[in-house]
Amino acid sequence: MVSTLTRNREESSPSSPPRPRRRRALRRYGGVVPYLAFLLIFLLIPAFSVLIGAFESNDGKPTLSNLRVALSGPYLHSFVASFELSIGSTIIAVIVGFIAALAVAATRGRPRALVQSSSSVLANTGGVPLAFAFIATLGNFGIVTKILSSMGIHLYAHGFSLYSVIGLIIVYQYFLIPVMILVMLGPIQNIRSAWVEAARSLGASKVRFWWSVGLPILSPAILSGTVVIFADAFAAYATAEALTSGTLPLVPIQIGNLISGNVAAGQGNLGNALGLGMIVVVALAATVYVLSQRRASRWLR
Amino acid sequence: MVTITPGGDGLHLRQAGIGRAFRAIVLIIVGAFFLIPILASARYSVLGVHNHLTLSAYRSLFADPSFRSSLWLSLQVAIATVILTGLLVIPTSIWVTVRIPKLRGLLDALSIVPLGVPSVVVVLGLLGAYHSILNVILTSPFILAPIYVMLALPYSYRTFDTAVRSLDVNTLVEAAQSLGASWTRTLIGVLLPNLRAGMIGALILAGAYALGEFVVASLLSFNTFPVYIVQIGLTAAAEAVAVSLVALLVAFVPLSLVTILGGGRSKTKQRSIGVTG
Amino acid sequence: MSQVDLRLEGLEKFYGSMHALDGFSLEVAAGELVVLLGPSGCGKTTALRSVAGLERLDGGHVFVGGVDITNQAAAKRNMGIVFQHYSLFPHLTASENIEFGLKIRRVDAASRRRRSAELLELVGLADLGGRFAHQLSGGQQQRVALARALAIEPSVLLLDEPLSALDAKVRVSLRDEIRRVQKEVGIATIFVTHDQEEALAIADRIGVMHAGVLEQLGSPAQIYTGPATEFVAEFVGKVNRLSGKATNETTVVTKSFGAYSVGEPVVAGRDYEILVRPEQLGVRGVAGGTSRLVEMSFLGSSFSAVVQGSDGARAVVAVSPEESIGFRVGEAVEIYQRGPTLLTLPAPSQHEERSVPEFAELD
Repeated sequence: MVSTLTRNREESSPSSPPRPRRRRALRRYGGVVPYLAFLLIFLLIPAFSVLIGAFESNDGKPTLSNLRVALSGPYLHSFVASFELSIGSTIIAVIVGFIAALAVAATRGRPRALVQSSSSVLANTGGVPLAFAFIATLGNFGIVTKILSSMGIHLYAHGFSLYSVIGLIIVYQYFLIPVMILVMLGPIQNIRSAWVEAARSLGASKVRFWWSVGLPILSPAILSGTVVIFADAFAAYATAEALTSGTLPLVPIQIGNLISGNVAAGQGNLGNALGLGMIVVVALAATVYVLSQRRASRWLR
Repeated sequence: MVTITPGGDGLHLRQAGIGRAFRAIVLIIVGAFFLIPILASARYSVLGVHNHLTLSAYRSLFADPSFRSSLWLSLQVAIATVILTGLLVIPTSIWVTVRIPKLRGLLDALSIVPLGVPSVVVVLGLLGAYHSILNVILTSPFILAPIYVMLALPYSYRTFDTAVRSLDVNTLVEAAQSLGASWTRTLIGVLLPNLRAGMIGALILAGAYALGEFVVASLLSFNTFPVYIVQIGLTAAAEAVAVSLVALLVAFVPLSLVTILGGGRSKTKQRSIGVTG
Repeated sequence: MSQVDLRLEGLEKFYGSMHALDGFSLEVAAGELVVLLGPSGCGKTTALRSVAGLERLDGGHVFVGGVDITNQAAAKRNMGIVFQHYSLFPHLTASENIEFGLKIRRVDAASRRRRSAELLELVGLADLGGRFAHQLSGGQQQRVALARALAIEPSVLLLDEPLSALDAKVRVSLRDEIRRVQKEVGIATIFVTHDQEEALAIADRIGVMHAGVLEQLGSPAQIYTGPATEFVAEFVGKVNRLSGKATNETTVVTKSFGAYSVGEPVVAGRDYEILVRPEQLGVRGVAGGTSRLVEMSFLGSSFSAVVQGSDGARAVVAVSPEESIGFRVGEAVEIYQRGPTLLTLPAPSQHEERSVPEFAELD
C-alpha cells in the first residue's frame, strides 16, 4: 500500500549510484523520529525512572525495601482503598452505563447526538469542577442533602460523607458512566437487525435474544468498557484531591503527597514503588483492553 | 454489491425489547443524575451558604486578580499544547500512513501507552529522571505544554488517526503526484482539507485537556485555572462552585464542537435499513 | 416435513402514505416454490416479512395450513427465514447456529447434534460445522443460514433475496442447491428476488409484483411467453417496442421493420406498439434495404444484433452463431417476424421521439 510513486523514486534510478542504506532508512523512518523522541523524553524515560527508582534505596543501592513498605501498613491500606473505590465505581458505571447506552441507542436523531456529545464532554471533564458541583449537591450544605433532611433522611447523621470512598464512588459516576455509554454505543448500534429477526423467527423471546445472542456479541465491548473504566477510576486524582485535600488514603493521593513533600523527606523511592504499583495495575488493564478489542473486531466483520 | 447497513435508527433494538417505556424511564433517571449537580451548582453559587440570593460570588470572582491571571496562564498553556500537538500528531500520522503503513499498529499502540501511566506517576518520573535540571525546568509553566501533549495523545492522536484511516490517503497522494503536485502542495492542498474535521477534533481535545488539567499543574506548583479553583475552594466555597460551573459550561462548547464535526462523517456511514421491495 | 400450504388474503400495508401492499393475495401449495419478482419498492419483501411476522399488517389475513396466524408473534410462527446477508450469529459456530432454534425448543444435546450434522450434509457442508461465520465464504454462510432455518422443521420457508449479496458464479450454483434442498424437504417456499433470470430458473410459479400489486402469477414459461401486462413483458426478459399502424384485424405494419401478425385483435387504421422478443425476430441482408445493421455483440452462446431503421428506431434481434457469419456491420438488412409477438398496445397519445434504443433490458 506504500505509494508506488515514492517507492519508485527511491529505488529505480539506474544512472545514479545506489544510495547508502542509512540514507534510505532515514528517508523512510525519518518522519516518526520527532514523535518517538518526544515519547521517549516525556514518557518512557520518566516511566523508566519510576521503575528503577522503586528498586533503589536512597543511596542508590538495589533493594526491595521500598516495595515492602509500599505493600504494608498505611500504604497497603491505600491500595485496598483504591481498589475498593475502583471496583465499586466500575461495577456501578458498567451496569448503569450499559443500560443507558441501550436506551440511547434506541433513540433516534437529535437526542441521541446530544447525548453523544455530552458524554464526550463529561468523560473528559477535569475532576475539579465536578468535585465542587457535588459539594453543592451532596455536601454538608448541598441541596440534595437538604431535601433529604426535610424528608426525614439525615445523610450525614447516618455516617454518610461525600468525602469518603462511598462519596467518591458516586461522584466518579459522573465521568465514568459517559465513558461506558461512549464505548457501548457503537457496538450496540452495530447489532444487525438480521440477528434480532433471525433469533426471533427461530423462536427466541426478547430475553432469550439478549441472553443467547445480544450479550455474548457485546461481551468484548463490555469487557473493554469495564477495563477502561477501572483504569480511569484507579488513576483518578483531581477529583479526590479537590474533595479531600489529600486526606483520603488513595494511592494516587499518597504519591501526590510524597511529591509535594507533605510527608517526611527521604522517601522519594517509596513514591516510585507506589508509582510502580499503579503502573502495573493500569498496564494490566490496558493489555486486557487491547486484547479484547482485537477479538471484537474479528467477529463484527 | 449490497453493503451492510447497521441498525442506524435503532429499529432492531425496539424489536429486541427496548421499547418506549424502557427508554423514557432510563433516560429520565440518568438524565436527572447528570443535571442535578449542575443545577445544584448554579443554585449554590447564587445562594451561598447563607441562603440569600446574591451574585456576590460571581462579582468577587471577576474582581479577583488571581482569577484572571490563572485563567490567562491556562489559556496560554493550552494554546502552546494545541500548537505542539498539531506539529507532532499531524505530520507523524500522515507520514506513517503513506511511508510506513506496516508500523501503523505499533504507533497506535504507542499512542495508548500514556493511558497506562497515570499523570501522578508521570510527574513522579519526570521529577526523578530530570531532577538535575529541575531548576531550569520549573521556572517556566510552559513545561506543562509538552507534558499535556503527551498525556492527551491517546485522545488527540487517535482522533486524527481515525480520520486519516478513513480517508484513502495513498490513492489521493498518488493521484496528486501523477498530476505533478509536490509533496507540500499535496499535503496542504489535498490531504489537510479533507482531514479538517479530524484535525480540529484532535486539537480541541488537546486544548480542552490542557485547560482542565489539574494533577500535573498542582504537583509542579503552577497556578493554572484548575489549581486556582481548588485553592479558593478551601476558603470560599460559593466562589469555587461558581467558577466550576462556568468552567463546566465552557468545556461543553469546544467538546460539543468536536462531536458535531466528527458526527458529520459517521452520519454518512450509517444508513437505516429501508424497506426495499 | 409438514405438508401445509400457505394462503395470503388481501394483505394491506402502509408506510405513512406509501401503499406498500395493495390487496395482495397468493396461495402456495406444500412443496411449491413461488418466486416473488419485482423491482425495488414493489412490495415483495414487505409481503415476505408480513408472512414472517416481522411487519404488522394493516389489513388482510395469513393462513398456514388453514389456521389464521395473522396476529401471531414472529417467535411463535415456526417459519424458516433466510435473510439477504450475514445473518449468522457471529459468536456461534455453524453447528451452533443451526442448533439455535432446537436449543430454544429444548431438544436434547445428542438429538441436536444429530440434526445439525444431517442438515450440514444436506446443504453440502458436512465437515464445516466447527467454523465461525467469518471463516466461511458468502455462499457457505447462506447455506448454513438455510440449514438453520430448516432445523426447526418449519411449515413455511421464506427466502429474502438470499443470493443478491453473492458473486455471480456462486449465485448460479447456490440457487440450484437451494432448489434441490427445497424439493427434497418438500416445503412451501416463498423466494423474493429482483433478478428475473434467477426467478425463471428455479420457480414453480412466479408472482411479478409492481407497486404493491401482483401483476401476474404463473409458471416461468407463462410469464415469459405470455406476459399479461406491459410491465411484466418488460421486466422479464428483453423486449423490443416496434411502432406501427394496423392494416387489418390481425396485422400491424411497422415503419421500417416489416409487418407482423399479432395475437390480439386490432383496429385497422389505428397506431399500435408491438412488444416482441429478440428471439422472435430474424434479420437478413437485403440489397437496397432502408435498415442498417448497426451493431453485432457476441454473447457467448449467441449474438445480439442491433438494427436501425430509416426512421431512427432500433430493434434487437437474437442471432445464432451460424446465422451471424456473413453479416457485416453497416450493411443493409431487413427484419422479419419469426415467432409470436408478446403484446400489442395502443400507441401512447403523446408520441415522443425516442432516441433511446427501443428495447427494454433489465439485469
